[in-house]
Amino acid sequence: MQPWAYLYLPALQLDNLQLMHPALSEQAVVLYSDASQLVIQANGAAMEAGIQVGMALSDAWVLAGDLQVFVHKPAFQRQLLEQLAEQLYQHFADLALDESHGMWVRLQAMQRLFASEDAALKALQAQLNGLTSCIRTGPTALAAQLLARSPQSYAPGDIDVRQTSLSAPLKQKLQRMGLQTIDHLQRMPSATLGTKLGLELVQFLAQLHGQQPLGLSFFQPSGVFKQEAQLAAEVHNWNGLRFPLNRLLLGLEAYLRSRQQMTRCVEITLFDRQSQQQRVRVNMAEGEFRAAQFYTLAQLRFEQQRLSAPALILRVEVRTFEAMQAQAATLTESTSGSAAMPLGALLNVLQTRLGRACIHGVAVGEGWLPECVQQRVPPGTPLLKVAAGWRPPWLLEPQPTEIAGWQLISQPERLVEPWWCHQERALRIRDYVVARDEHGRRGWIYFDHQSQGWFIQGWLDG
Amino acid sequence: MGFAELHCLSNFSFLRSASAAEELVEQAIAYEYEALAITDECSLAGVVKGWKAARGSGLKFIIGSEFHCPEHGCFVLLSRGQQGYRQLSAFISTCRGKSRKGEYDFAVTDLEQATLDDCLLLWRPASSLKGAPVAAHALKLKFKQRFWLLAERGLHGHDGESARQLGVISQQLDCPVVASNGACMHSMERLPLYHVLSAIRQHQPVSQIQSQLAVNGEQRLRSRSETEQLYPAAWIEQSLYIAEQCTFDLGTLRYEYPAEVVPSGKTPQGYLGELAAAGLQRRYPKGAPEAVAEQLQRELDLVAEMEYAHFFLTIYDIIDFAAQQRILFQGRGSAANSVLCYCLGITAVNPAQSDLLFERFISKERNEPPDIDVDFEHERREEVIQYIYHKYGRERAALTATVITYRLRSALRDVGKALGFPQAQLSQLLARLDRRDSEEDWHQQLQALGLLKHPMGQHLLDLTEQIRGFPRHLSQHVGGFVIASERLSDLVPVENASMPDRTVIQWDKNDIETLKLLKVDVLALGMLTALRKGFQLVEQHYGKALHIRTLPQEDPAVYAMLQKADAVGLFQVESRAQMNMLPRLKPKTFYDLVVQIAIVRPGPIQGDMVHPYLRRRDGLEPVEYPNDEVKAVLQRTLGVPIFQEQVIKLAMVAAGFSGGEADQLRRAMATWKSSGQMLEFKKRIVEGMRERGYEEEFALRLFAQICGFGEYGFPESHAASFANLAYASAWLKCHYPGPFYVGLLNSLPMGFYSAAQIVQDARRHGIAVDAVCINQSSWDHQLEAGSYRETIRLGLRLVKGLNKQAAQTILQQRPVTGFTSLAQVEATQVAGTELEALASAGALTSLAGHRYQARWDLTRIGQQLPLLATAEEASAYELSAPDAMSNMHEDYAAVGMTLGDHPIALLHKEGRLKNCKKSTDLPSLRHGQLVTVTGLVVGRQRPSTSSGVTFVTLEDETGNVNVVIWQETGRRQRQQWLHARLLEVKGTLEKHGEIIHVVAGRLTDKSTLLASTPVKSRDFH
Repeated sequence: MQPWAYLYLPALQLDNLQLMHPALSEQAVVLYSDASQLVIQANGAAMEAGIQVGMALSDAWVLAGDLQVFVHKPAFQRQLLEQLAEQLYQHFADLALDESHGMWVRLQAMQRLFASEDAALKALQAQLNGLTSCIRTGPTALAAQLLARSPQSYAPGDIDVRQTSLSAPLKQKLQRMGLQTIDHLQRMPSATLGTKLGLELVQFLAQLHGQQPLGLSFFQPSGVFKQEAQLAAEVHNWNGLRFPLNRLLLGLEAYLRSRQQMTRCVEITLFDRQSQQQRVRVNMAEGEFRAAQFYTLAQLRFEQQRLSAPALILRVEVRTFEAMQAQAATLTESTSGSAAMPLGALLNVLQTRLGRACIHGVAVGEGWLPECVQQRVPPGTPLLKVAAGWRPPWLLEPQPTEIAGWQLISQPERLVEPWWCHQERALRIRDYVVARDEHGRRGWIYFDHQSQGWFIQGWLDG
Repeated sequence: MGFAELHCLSNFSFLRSASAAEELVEQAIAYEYEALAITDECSLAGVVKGWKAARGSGLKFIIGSEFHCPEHGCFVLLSRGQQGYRQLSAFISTCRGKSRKGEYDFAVTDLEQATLDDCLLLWRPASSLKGAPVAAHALKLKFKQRFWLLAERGLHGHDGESARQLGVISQQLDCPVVASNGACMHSMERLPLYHVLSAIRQHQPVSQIQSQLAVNGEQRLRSRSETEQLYPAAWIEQSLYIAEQCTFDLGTLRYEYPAEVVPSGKTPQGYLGELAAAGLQRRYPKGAPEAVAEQLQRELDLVAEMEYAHFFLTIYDIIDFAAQQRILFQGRGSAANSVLCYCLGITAVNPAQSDLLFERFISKERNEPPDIDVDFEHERREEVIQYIYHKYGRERAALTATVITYRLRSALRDVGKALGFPQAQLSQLLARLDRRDSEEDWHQQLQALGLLKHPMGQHLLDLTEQIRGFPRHLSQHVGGFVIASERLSDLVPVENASMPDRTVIQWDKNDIETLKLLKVDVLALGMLTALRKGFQLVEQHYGKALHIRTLPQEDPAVYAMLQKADAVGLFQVESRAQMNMLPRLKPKTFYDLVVQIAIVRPGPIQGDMVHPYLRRRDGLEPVEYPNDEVKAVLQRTLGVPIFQEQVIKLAMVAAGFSGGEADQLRRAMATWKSSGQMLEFKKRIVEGMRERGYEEEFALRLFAQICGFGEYGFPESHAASFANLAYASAWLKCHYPGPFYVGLLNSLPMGFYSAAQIVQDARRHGIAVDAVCINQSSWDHQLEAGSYRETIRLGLRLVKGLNKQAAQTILQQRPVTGFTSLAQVEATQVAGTELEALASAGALTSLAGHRYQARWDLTRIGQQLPLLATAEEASAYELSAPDAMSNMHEDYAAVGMTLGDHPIALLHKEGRLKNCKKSTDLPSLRHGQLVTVTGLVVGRQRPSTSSGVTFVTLEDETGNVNVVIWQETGRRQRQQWLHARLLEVKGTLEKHGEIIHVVAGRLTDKSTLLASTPVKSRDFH
């Protein structure tokens, strides 16, 4: 058995995307770099259309008009790699992650578990579940890595220096001297290479031959479950979340089962285009591990709740675990003895008594339109900034009013509704004034140019 | 009550105003204002357009400018009389001169110090000021009764507070208040665009910068009744009082020519007459033909009448300097091809040789300044520019501005970003917009792409349409100088250009034309450099002194060469489209060459005029004219309109356009893609022509042609000047090919072809080419003209990664007998990377055996390795020599060409290309035969005039193969050809006379046969 295997995963993010959205597999799909606008990963259909990795995105559009594109996120890819490592860690003890698209597996350490190299590789392959991958073994970690990244090569000596991790200037230097393959370098005296071309090359060859370690740091499982799915398009409602959430929850079930654990709290987070989060906690009175149960509870939560913004990424996270057999001891505990009820608990009680619609918080938003400036937010959201003092502290839903009953006491203030919030071409204009009603109360009223009517939107006197 | 708006920004306050000066003027006229001031921020860039729009309307147009100071607020200076205008212009120039391009530096103390006694000052205090600061008292003291406070009501919640504050300051300063709307829009409907411009300025989407956006659209021109409702009558009356004081009219601005071009004691006209007479004698030593002499006299009379003698003398002064410095030049433009310019030496186009209408050279009816552009050698134009600066001083000479405006793509991109469209989505839209239709049917195209389904789709379409044509920033014109008799900044503000030591005025060429200022175009042309270098080589090697004006004319050998499309490297006729036309048009005279150059242009092609011309030329179609008027216009081109001025003349004689309308048409043609004005003319042309008995189809074709001329307007006079250089370059290539190629190679980059393609053409013409060699080459390519054959020794300038300074160091230290070892080369102390570049170029082969070894030997020790350093001697190692394929790759990588086997020849030798025809095989094959050709892709062209066709040029070891890919074939097999470096084409051979091309059927990308890219395709869209 070779001591090292390297698992090369060149399209991890794209694979994950297609796994979450099987319909995408039939279309040309690419991931691109937001900074360079170049294609980073491409699926089979895209390749068939002539799209290649490294191609400008604009060229890719020309080759496939119905191309689906997604931003490549190295951090997300790294996270997917860590997820995979968590999974493999159940079977292979020594794993070392390589940036965001590969990992080493030290087979030597697994000799007692697997009868042969083949058996070990089969076990490894079985965990990959449809991911684009190339697994190669080698006498050293570097040899295995190089072979996996150039699958057409039989031995490290065949490998083109351009495909190595050597620095770009050094690779160019080697090429311009006709030193095209690792074999060329291996045939040369290392002292000569060192004095001519420097330490980097000598170290590279020493690592390739196992004379110097590669300095890998081995993977340690995090102890939490955290998996994400990129959504194929912006999702506005529960329906769009169903399939990817189910996949993630199945992953959670597998994770819990393999560890003989349960949880009482699953945290589901949605990220929108601006990476703003909307978090939903699914709490359970008893420990649970089944995906179907999680799913049903999540569905109940989401059907009650509107998404605050269209979601692009879905994350499922579990931080607390308990043993599968253990009974939930906290059931017998009571909060009645606690004198100072925490805010969250108080809000829960209020919501239960008065109904959800009656309890909300207030926040000051961006913009100039009153209803945009003063927003209703879930209760408990901290107030980060304060609105202009002269405006009404509480806004009403605008209600029509008769101007005849009002006496205007301020100069008009003209506000135009943000035109990008609607598709009409005409501007919607409101002229606000402070006015006194027949009871002497000061109200904030406006004339709406579109409907040619007056509305009241708030009171300035308590 | 009347009203005068005195603080108003046009879109020349870049990204701060959502209306053009013309729109603001139009609205002010509609509202029956007494006056409107355009007061762009530290700029007068928009005033000429505004003044022109207001001319004759009864609206008084006032010129002013605003200046911001965060501490004190906004100051508006208005010019009262001509003196005030000059003071304002000088003040703007001073503020601009202190800052880099596009910015200005202003402090309140500048207003105190500058001479502004004929300007009025309006001040809108910063909202943070609760009383009049010390600086305001100082200004009041200086400006006295010429100082006002500006009141601008935005219908904000704080309006009342602002008015109170203004009242306090007014009392403290004893200074009247004047009402203004501070307009940045002519109408409230522009509010979305105003928001988008703010977002573009801040590089953020509108939804992200809401707190910084205008909450309403009140920064606009308001009707008089609205204004009366918002301001006290006294404040409005002040606006009228101020307007009454401002009497300056831009039309009275007098430009004075520089005086020093006329020797003392002579009149400009008299001196011009003397020079012209001397020139006539020089041009026609045996006596000028009577017609030419008469023409000269007519031109001189016209020049005297229009008082343009100074203009011609200024140009003469510049070209006289160039002639003394032996810098080649050539004049062009409507006035350049006159007998006068021929006699003054401005142009070498012999009026006796062509049949140009010289009366046109100054448009008397249009009352416009004459137009002469002078091209100089591109490597030596800077000498001419420095001469102008030296002679007139930097205060009196500056470059004209070019206004960079929003075009469709830039508009879509910027508006899209401002609306929050992701970059990738915008890239997709732009990538899928068909480039050729993009300026016309883009609305439909974007709708077809489903844009309207997007919630912001309609806004994107509307706002893109609105922003198109908006100025984005000022840039410098390529070479248009304005020279004044006194300080230029008294005439127009001058600001810094991005290039060091260059200044640019705030007006563009249209403004200059409107105000009839004199502009001298000093342009750069690579071909003139190539010709001068070629002529020098002829003199050096063959002892013959040549000059463009003395070349033998109408040489049949030259035309025979052109008719065979042997035109690589020739001026203007070297493109593939021109080469295709040469054997069809078969130029036999200079005028044929003029037509040849003008006919392969978007105008005649879109107007479908090419084939009728060719058929008539071949006698296959009768030459007929509907009447004598049309005959007079079209006779020289066999009844087919080819030149820009012909179609305009035709609009007059055939569609009944007046002189003024034709002039409008000419202007609209130049800008129609950005302004979309042309469609107004379509109806008038078609109806006018139908009324006069022309067929609608011909009228539509003529209109298509007019649109085609658009930005590529190509008048006959330009074509004639270009034809002169085309002839000169052809003559040199025909008679002295060695000097021609070396001159051309030493002038690169220029023209259509790479050094590799030019060298191949030279070798096909029997010229030997020797490789770069450390002991034989100079920096430039050299001609070695032996008795047997001419040889080009490639120069070190070809070596990629070797700079000129390093090369000079090596050449200076090169022993007379040459270097004998690498150690000697290393002793020159030139950087290792430069020597490595030489090694890879094969320049050291004579010292080291082969390039790999040379590079290895020259590679200096990397890091010190104490553990390994004791080992064997490093340099003793011998590397294997490169094989033919590797050598070829290294040649391309190091010098961009190979003198060894062509890549295709190598692949043939290795048996990797089967059944492929070579370029030289094609002439012997029959028309319609199925062929397979393979070659390096050296060019992809998708001309705007062809209906979806892509032209690909393949290069093999024997020459080029022209491949035509029809739209459908191209679309289906795009992946094969779009990025292919080596392409196999199976297709049908098409032969029409000497024109041969392969119409592609099946395309196969064979790039993998090449390990890396040897040659980069030159793609033109």
